[in-house]
Amino acid sequence: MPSSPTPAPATPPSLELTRLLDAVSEGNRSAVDQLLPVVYHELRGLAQRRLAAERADHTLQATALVHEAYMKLIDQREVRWQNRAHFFGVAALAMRRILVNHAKAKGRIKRGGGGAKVELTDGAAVTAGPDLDIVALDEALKGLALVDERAARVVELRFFGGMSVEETAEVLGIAPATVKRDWTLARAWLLREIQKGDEHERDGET
Amino acid sequence: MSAPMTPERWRRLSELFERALEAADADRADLIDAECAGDSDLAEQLRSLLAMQSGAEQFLENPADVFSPLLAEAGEGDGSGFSDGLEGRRVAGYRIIKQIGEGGMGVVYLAEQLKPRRTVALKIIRAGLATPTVVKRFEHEAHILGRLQHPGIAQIYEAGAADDATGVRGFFAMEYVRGKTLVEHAKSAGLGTREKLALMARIADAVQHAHQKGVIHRDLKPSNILVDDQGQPKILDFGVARATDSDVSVTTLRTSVGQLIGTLPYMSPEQVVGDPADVDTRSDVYALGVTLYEMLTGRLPHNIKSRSLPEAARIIRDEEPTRLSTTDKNLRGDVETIVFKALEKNKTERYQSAAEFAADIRRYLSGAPIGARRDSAMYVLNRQLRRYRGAAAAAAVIGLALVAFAAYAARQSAANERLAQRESLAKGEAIAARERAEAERARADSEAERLRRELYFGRIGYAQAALAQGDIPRVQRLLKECPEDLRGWEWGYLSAASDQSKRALQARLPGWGGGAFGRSAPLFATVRVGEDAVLWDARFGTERFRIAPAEGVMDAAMSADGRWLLLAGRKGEIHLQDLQAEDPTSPQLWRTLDGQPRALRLDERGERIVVIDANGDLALIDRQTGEELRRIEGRDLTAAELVPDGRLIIGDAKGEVSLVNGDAVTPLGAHESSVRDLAIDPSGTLLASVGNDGAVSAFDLKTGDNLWTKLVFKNKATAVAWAMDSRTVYAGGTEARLEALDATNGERLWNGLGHASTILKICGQDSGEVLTTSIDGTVRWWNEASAKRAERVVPLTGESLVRAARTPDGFLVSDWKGAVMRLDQNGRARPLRPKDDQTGFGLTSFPGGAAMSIGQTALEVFTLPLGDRLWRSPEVEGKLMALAATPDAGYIAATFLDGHLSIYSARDGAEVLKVDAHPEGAHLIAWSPNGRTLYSCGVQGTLKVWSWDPEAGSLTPKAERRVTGAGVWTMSISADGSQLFIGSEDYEGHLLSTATLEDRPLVGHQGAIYSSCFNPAGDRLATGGFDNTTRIWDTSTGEEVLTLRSHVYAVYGACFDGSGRTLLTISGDGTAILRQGGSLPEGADLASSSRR
Repeated sequence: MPSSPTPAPATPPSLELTRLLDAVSEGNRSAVDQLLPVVYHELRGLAQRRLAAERADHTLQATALVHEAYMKLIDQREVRWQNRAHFFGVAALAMRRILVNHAKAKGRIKRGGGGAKVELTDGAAVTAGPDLDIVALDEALKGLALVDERAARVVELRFFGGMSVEETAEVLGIAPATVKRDWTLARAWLLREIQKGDEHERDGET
Repeated sequence: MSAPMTPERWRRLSELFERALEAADADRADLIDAECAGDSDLAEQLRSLLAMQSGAEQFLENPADVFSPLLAEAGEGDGSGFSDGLEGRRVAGYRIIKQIGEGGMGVVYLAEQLKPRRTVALKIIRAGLATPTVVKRFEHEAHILGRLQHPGIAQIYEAGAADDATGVRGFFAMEYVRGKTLVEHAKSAGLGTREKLALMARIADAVQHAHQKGVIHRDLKPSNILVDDQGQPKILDFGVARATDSDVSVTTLRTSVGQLIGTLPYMSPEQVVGDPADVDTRSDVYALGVTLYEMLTGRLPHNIKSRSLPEAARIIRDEEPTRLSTTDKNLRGDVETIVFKALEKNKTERYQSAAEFAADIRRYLSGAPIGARRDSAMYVLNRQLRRYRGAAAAAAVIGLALVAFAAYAARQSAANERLAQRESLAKGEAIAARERAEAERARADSEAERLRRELYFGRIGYAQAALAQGDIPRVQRLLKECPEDLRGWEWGYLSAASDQSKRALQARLPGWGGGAFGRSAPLFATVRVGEDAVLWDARFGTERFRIAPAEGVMDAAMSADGRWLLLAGRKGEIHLQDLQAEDPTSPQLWRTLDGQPRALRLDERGERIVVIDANGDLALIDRQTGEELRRIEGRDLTAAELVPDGRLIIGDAKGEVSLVNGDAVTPLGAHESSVRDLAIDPSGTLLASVGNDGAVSAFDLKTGDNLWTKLVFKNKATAVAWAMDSRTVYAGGTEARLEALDATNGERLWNGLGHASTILKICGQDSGEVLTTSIDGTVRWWNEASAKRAERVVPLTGESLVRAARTPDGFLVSDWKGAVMRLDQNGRARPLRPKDDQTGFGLTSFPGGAAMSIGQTALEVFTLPLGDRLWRSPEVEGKLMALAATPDAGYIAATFLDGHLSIYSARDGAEVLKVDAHPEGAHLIAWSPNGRTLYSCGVQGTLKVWSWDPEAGSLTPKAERRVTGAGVWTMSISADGSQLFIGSEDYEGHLLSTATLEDRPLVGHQGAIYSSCFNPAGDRLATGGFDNTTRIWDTSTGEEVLTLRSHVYAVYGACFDGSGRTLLTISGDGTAILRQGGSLPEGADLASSSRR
């Protein structure tokens, strides 16, 4: 029998999001935690829509997704640019978590930790780059954050958030030259740490 | 041991690292020695980092690919507590023993059922069942799955819903199969090619069984097929993917997406192209083909390892599989042919059923010639046909060859006649030969005709896919290739839908740059956010030049005459470009504000400029003198507009719209939230505003009156503009639809579909056309004629719309609450009967009037077009279901759930006849065009044919047939009375010949079929269903031609108008959609609109 249409699920009011962003800009960590799932959800939905709408040869850019998510969630005229920067920051963090969780889940299944019936075929590429170990990168980034939090944030925004040097500078409120400096040093440091980790692993196996 | 890395040491390291990088290679060692004297650890750190430097330059240079993980996220770990810690607990009558598997959709446990006591596999679905509707749907699907009973399918014992802390979750209790996966089994049992093929045939048998029951697997792969100890294959998870879809519009995608990573290699091209609802039984055939391929070769047909998702999808869609013979030469020939036929890209070229696939495998195993060979010859012919300019030409070639052969045969027999002098015999032979040749020719003709049709359907299918991808040129090319004599309703629809805007330009704007238009300007600008502004020729859509200030561009505005362009940077840099200057591309910094401005505006000729800065403060500036004419602070302004007479309009974050005249600020009206855009009409006397509340308002500036306010969008409205003649207001918003509203009352004149995302700027041009930019990266041109061609969405009463009927001048539509309205082909609705809060399922029209059921207890007849009530019946017993009036307006037949059917006189409502017709309950009813034959169908699918004699008032049963065992929802009859359609809830449609009552199944809907209608010519049928789609079928082949998807809820009514051009569909989403089709585009010449 026909029935009345079901109402569309409510999206969080942009006012609430704006309030949360304000809290983030004031350094409130729990606001980040509240914001993350919303951003997660939105990014995911947008990615799905892109899959349906985009032509297959289109490569998806993280920044384009974040821009669109922001536009959808928050009225850009009602908030200060500073808020937009914080939104980008949260989005980069969301992307990082997604990638790391995903890489970890893949690793678990590969090592046979999952159920016997679940077979992960070697079908599609799911890594960020051909050889990059996202979990190791994440660990190394945590190490970097202990000595230089800003440099670690630069890597997060540039690599996970897909932002340019200038955008990164905006988000962190520092000069582009500083971003470039941090970026250069951080990459050398991270590469060294990851390679060190690989050697340990090889040593351990022999 | 190294010294601990303190922030101080890090700073030192950082500083030295930078200095060392700047130093020449030769000097580095000295620098390190000098600066790290006595600190060997620091020196070592520095050296090791510098050693990394060359490698690090490429490291992390490309941002992470977040696409695939984001998609995978959709189906994976949601962190709810439901998936773990359940061991030993009870869930809905089951005791959980242990977890045995985990997939995208849910977690599988080994569990013990308490009553009856048995071991089961219990699959608990991850995604919650959000609403009662979804729960109901899940139960409905589960019920169907329970009917699958085949040794090759893991039996589903029960499905249900259980509550937990996070909401209601669906679960399936399934037969617990002890066995190995297909690939493991093939390996460990050491199966040879023949044994593998035999096993596959058995698997295909099981799949066929499910298909016959209307269930598609959609996720077949070796890991979903187990083989038990007796060697019996068992398919797991049949139909689970479908049953767990919680919402068609969102999750058809999500289900596939959640499992995409593991499933992708087994997905058919139609699945990866992103049209999940296009999936049918033949998609399962494809998956079986991949599975067989993998069993035989140990590899997958396409190498998509380490490809990105979109790339992998492209390969599956476009590239031929690697030949089996490259792995094993013995697989050359028939086996390869069989596998490749199952793997055909185009589903119409595949085995059309799992049974066909199994039969061909068995033919091969028994040494008989396989069917795929014969068909592959057809395939070769098909390919050749494609190579000819038109399929028709190819058919003619075949025809000519046969005519030549016939002539040759005739000449031969003529020669024989002379030589042998056996005149009569020879003559007989000649005639026989000619007849044989003629028969051959007829057969070839019909074969060629069939091929031509298939090619046409293929082109229509590709055109629709290209339309979904926005590839308009491809759509038009494909449509042009369609032979004119085969063009049906769908052809005209796609022609119009592909070009609803007059034209579109891919400006590839990233982010939300928007752009700037001038009403009478020959050019317009688009903004690439953070980069530059691109200037385009407005007539041809070609790029003219770019302006790239070092600070980047975030927003732009243009004077109406197109001479002056303002560009705003992120930090408040404003550039003012004179586009008529010698070098308009060199950036001219005008002034710098505090932060990115909220709004920019110039007047007609750019003499006055308004800017609102990041704090919402406004400045009105004289361009020539640079003098600040007016400043407004502390009002949190969001939008502004200049009136030609010198006045100013402002809008603020609270939603207030005010008129500023000198120092006086007069409120005009208010939105419920932030004002987003303001626009003055070309005459300078009318104002339009839009706000985040989704409303559009119009004001008369002479009187200050608010002329009208309309809530046009559910979400934010972002842009507004006037047409050149001031008669139309255009508005756009986050819903991506362009709305053209009547300037006098705000009523919708038309709307335009085409943009894929938020509309950012709109400009009504002097040419009468409208230009828009959107986040989707395109600029579009529109006019009324273009937008109205294909599809019009008409929101009606806000209630679910339940029934539709055709009238001479349009349609009748009734809603859930019993209101009836007339709707014309242009979407104009007029109320006919007010609501009475009773849902009636009967609505039928006849010349001069219509009848409807009042709830299920009475019927009412009213005149058309006025709606005067002629009569209303007293209360009737037995639950009234459906009504049908004879075409001569003499009688109305009605069905009742208690099984009887009655015939009333349409004139006065007298019950002429009452007969017990369907013990199962009578439901559907239809009259033949001459009003002498009545077709009725019981609720469980028993069709009865009756002969009606109005003079005697007698109804005589003529024939009876059980069409389906499932519940039926819709029946329609073609205008010539030769075809009957019945749609049922087992997803299948039945197209019957009224002469023979033989039926042809129409398979495609992914849910119950609720509505149907033949077009007047009878060559097309439209059906609507639970899956929110409307499908167009070719009645001569039973082939689905087109799937239409604009409704967001079940389609309860479908109706062609008398001309067969307009198709009305109505839905539970409260909207009616009118679509235009036909074999010729209406009011639009395709050739001229493609001349870009």
